[in-house]
Amino acid sequence: MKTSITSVLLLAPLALAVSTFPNYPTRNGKECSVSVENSGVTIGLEPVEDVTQQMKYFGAKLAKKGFIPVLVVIENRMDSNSVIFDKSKVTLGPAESTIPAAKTGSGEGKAMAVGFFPFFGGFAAAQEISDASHIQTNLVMKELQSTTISAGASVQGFLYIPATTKHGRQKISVRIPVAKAGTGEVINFDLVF
Amino acid sequence: MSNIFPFRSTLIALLVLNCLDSVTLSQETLPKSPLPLKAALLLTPEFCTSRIAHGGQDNPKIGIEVGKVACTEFDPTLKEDFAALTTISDPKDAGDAQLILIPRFVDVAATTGLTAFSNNQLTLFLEWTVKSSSGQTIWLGTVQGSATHKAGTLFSYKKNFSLLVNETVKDVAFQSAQEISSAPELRKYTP
Repeated sequence: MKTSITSVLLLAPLALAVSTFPNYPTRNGKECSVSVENSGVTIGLEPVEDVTQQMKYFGAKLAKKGFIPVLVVIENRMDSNSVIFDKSKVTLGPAESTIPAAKTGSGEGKAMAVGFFPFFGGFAAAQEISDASHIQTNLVMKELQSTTISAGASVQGFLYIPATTKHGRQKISVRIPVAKAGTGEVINFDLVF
Repeated sequence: MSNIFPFRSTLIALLVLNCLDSVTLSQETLPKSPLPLKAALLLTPEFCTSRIAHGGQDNPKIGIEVGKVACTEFDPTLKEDFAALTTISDPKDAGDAQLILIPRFVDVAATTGLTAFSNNQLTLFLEWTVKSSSGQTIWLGTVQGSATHKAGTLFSYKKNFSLLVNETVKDVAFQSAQEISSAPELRKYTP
């Protein structure tokens, strides 16, 4: 009897409670707390700083780990041009500094001015925020990836921006360059939140 | 002696259940017409030996070995997308190709099970840069492919993980073919 009970307990598939996190509500670029429009493209930023919201959508207190999840909405309202969003060309810095001009080419941000750094944080953020694989996976799945946005289309997703919030955080400047597909012409969007 | 039985029956059950392993994929073949373009697929030696680890993108020597499988899967899968596709290992060999396809693994996410019976899930993120023969970027896209597989026992974990990686890279190739062939920027591209 003891044997069979032990076997059943050992063999029963364990119903692992894998948490699922809801998607953050979608919104237009102009509905975000910060937005900029230029040449038919609108970019909106919506930082999610409330701890309750962070727990609900990400399962972790991201601010305590030194990150602010920021919803980025990019809308292309141009008549015919597609635009390219390349995550590796996003740069960050304190709001009072001057953001250096975006350059072209992958990883060029390494040569940025003091105080600014390219946004490579997304790669490591999920790992630093949590060791739990389902939380990491959720963070990565919600992250905004490099993409092409056709005329009339939009994309949205999160960037996990490094920020210290211990004594009230400083304002952060984000430069998001988008390039017109096939021309290389770059439009820069400077947003402060 | 009685202590042996639970272990033995557990071991037998583990082996039986392990035989029922199956890789789960959700691939549906969509009808598509090839793009009327000559393309070159750039698979550099670095890419073909690349590994990927979450947060370890700066170090190509750590992580899951994905480049090797990608370099056997991408060419046959993407060939159907174009009128002609050649694989090159150096951009200088592009010849008369009208488009150059450049892949790069950018991230990975994994959910691991706690027991031999639970599923491991792997998701790979691959970034495609499609350039014209003059070097302009025509299209940039990030494709994700995923697969799930039983974690396996101490004896089968390694083999199962290898199968999981293979199937995930195959799904990346499949999803890439779908994304590239349906991209409006490439559909309307005229060199």
